[in-house]
Amino acid sequence: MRKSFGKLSTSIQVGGSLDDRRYETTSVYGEKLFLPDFNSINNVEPTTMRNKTILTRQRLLGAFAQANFTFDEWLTLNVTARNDWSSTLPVENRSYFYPSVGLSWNIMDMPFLKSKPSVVDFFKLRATFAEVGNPAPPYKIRARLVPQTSTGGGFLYDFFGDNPILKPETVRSYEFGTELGFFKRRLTIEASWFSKTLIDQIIFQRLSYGTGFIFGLLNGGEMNTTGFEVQLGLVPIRTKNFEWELNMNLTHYDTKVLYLPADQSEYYNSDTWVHNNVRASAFAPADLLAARFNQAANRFDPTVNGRGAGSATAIGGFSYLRNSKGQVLINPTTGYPIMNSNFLPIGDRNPDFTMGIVNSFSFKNFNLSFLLDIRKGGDIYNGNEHYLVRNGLSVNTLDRDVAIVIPGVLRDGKEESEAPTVNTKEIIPSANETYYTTVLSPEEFVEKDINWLRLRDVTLRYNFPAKVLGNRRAIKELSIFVNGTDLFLITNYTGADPYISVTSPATGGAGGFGLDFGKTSLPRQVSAGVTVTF
Amino acid sequence: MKNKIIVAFIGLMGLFFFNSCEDYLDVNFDPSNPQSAEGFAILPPMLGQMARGVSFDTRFVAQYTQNWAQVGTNNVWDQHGYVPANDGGGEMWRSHYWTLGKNVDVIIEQATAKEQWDYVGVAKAVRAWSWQNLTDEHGEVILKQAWEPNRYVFDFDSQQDVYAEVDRLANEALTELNRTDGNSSVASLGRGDLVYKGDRNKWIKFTYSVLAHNAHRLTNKSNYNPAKVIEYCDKSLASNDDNFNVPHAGTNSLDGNFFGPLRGNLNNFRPTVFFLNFLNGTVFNGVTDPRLPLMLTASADGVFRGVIPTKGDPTTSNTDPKRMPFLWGANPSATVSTLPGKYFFTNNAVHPLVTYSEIQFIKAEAAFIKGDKTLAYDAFKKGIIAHMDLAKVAAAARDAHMASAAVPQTADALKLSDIMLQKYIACWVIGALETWVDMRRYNYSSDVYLGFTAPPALYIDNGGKLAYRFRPRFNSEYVWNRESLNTIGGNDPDYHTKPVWFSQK
Repeated sequence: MRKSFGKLSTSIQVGGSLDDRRYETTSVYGEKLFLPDFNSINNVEPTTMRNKTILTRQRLLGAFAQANFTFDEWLTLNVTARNDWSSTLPVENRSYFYPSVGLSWNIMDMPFLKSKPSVVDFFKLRATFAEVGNPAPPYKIRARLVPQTSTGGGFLYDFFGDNPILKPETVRSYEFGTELGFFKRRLTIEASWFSKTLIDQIIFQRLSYGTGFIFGLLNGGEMNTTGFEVQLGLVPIRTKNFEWELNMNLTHYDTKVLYLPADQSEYYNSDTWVHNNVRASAFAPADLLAARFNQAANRFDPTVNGRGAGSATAIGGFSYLRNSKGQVLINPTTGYPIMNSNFLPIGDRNPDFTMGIVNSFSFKNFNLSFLLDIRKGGDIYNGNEHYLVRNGLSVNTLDRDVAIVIPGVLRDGKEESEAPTVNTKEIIPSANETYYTTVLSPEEFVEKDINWLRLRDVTLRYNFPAKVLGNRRAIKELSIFVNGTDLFLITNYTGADPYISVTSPATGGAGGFGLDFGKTSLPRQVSAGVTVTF
Repeated sequence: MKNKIIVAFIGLMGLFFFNSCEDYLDVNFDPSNPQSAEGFAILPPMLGQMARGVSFDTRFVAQYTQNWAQVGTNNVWDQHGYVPANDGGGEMWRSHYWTLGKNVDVIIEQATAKEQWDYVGVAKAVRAWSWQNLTDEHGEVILKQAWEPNRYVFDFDSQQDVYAEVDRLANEALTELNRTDGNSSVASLGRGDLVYKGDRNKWIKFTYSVLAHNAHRLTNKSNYNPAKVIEYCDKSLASNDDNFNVPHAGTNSLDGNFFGPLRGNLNNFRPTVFFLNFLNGTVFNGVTDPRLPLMLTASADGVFRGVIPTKGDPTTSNTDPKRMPFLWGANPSATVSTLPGKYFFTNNAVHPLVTYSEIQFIKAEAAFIKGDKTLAYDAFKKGIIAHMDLAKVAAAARDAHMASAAVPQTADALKLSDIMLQKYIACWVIGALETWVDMRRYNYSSDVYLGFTAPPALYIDNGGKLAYRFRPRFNSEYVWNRESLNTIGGNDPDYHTKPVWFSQK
């Protein structure tokens, strides 16, 4: 529906949506095919035929309305409202509403600026507030019984607990942005700042078995991500035959954990727990951890464990046990440090910023472009080195026959006194392999503040001029190129390549970046080719 | 007017739409997996889980009691320690709260609706038994807040409270099992009851065995009542036919006995010298027990050997005739999965969670403490004979042993250590938790447990003390319920050596 009132033009849309999902998985198994190469379940020995089926149904109904108000073509207000009804939530919570409001102000199109000559080509400001509601996975408000393989068969409860009071989760976000163009677009700037808060997050959280289950599906946890992104486009030189174009982008964001589901200390991604006692975790804020891990056998040390506290991108792992002054505690009998075998933060994988710079030079029909990729900060767990050290394969274990004294104080009852006993016991690492296999804490293998500069991509291209292609224009464009990727890397990381992840993107969540185990560096690739457009 | 009609029409359409919507959205019931089921479908795996919790944890309990020790040196469990950040010794925790856990409530709910009081009684008896085992292993556990909906932090309760709950629940179970109204029947209970085949009388005896355990563990308390214990024992298992035997099909590693070769869990365990000395005559006046070759296996040179905890088997070559064999009765070079096994360590062996023999020894000890030596002696002999029958000792050899110098021949000659050591033999591995309770009640006294010595090296955090409890399950309480642990000292380095309530005066 559209209508105009003077300079104000409006449009209103209403609609509904219906989302009906049905997943059916049928697995069949049979042995002894009668006819070779005829792969059908009907072609097997009947007594070996087995079958299993899983049916999942999920339905979502939505009703929405959108209103758009534009005043004199320079001020636009966009309002949306939506209500969803989901089959996966408890009946009393299945309906939920979420709105959004967006305002866009195109300053250069205002009447007193429009059509006046200016170095400013365009100048836009925008602000958005939006909420999105999400339903739960199906069949989780009541626990289910699953078949058992023990003697006599039967059913017992599955891992997942019931939650009859589950609510939808909400993502609430604010964004402010601007777009600027100068000098006939030879300089463009785009900048935005955003804040995104995840409320009543629906999450499978491991819990005490006192719940009767291993996992609970909870509304819980609140995380806030703030960040900014700046893009800069510049054309420093533009002549008839030569052009230099420069594009830069800079990104920074930070996800803070306000509290975790069920007020837990840690949430971790089990797919990332692949070596020793290290995993990708989200941790509750430092003050909460300090209050909970405050005993002699599990002390949270602000210096070592503070890094990553309250972060959704922490490295969780074991660290050395320390006294309240932060001195490493040493076993008086062995001379080895004592492990704090609690998962606490031992690093934060989140970088300070990432940056990409693309330079493109065109001279007549030649074009040379290259992309530099820059990252500053962010910790990496060097699991490869940890593995090599544990197995005596790292060059850093070559001094294994040299006697050392591990700095720290003895846990002899005086460790919290004014004058703890300083460790003087000499050990020779090669005399007892447990020094490498179990005594060394993963915190030793977290490399802090890893930076890199890498040449991600460089391409030299020659575009054949139109006249070469002939008059018939069967070929519209023709070019040849040489391309190189990852040709060089400058970094303070001692492992193979800091651009790693222990999981595939399919894992979701905060991912497994910053955890290096069993990965090799990106290959250097050089390729040459022809691009033809018909 | 026209507008009003349109509005009314839209309103009616809306009502119709929303009503049908509610139906349309009511698809949140899993068509592939049930969300509730009757007792006969829940009970079989629950019985399996009772044995699972006990057998998994027995690996470590039996190291503390020196039933067995590792073939290698300096194992931390042999040292009365534990493995930090590990779920070892936390299986009963898992069984109790999860795999028995709310499944018990499903049975109670379903059976109550159908007035199947036998199922209700069985469910309550199983839960009472489970509470008893759980607290005997861990001391303080989550009791009052357990299974509370929408609770994520759980307080720990005292062992004394758990003992009272066991008594209460077991008595409730007896009430249900004794009901004659409703729809209880051998056929209906037998459908799910792999252990007693629907025989309610045997479940009543089992429930009394829980009460006997519960009452007898208080020997260190001033209100210990031996007469009550004897009464419970008399109402409990009356022969080996009443043993609580959890069956195992033994066709694969999923339905096989935990101690059987298919599961391969006993590769590294060897009997201790401490236990061997009860059977080879060292402790019992030079008389070799006929159970020796039935429970243990000699090395290739024909000599029976045991290990000293933390020292391992000093013979490390499998070809050396002194090398100690597997508990399955074969040289360690054998392919484990194809071995037939031995004693209760075969793939299809039952796991006896409670035996008549054990009950007779409880009765013997209670009568002994009461001062009724005649009654004690009678139960003592019945206990030995019952276990010899379980171990398949021939009647002639059994009777000859009963008449030998290994067994006191008069009631007056009976000593406490006779009862406790014969009980130790009868409970070896299959009743390891019962043995651990006994040893803690007597503070590992070598006056009772003749020949017992602490392991040569104790775990670093023990501060020179022996173990008195398992820590709560790591990936349950230490990770997800940490703050509550602080209140019971669960984060202390030597928490596992802290005496439990029943072991104290």
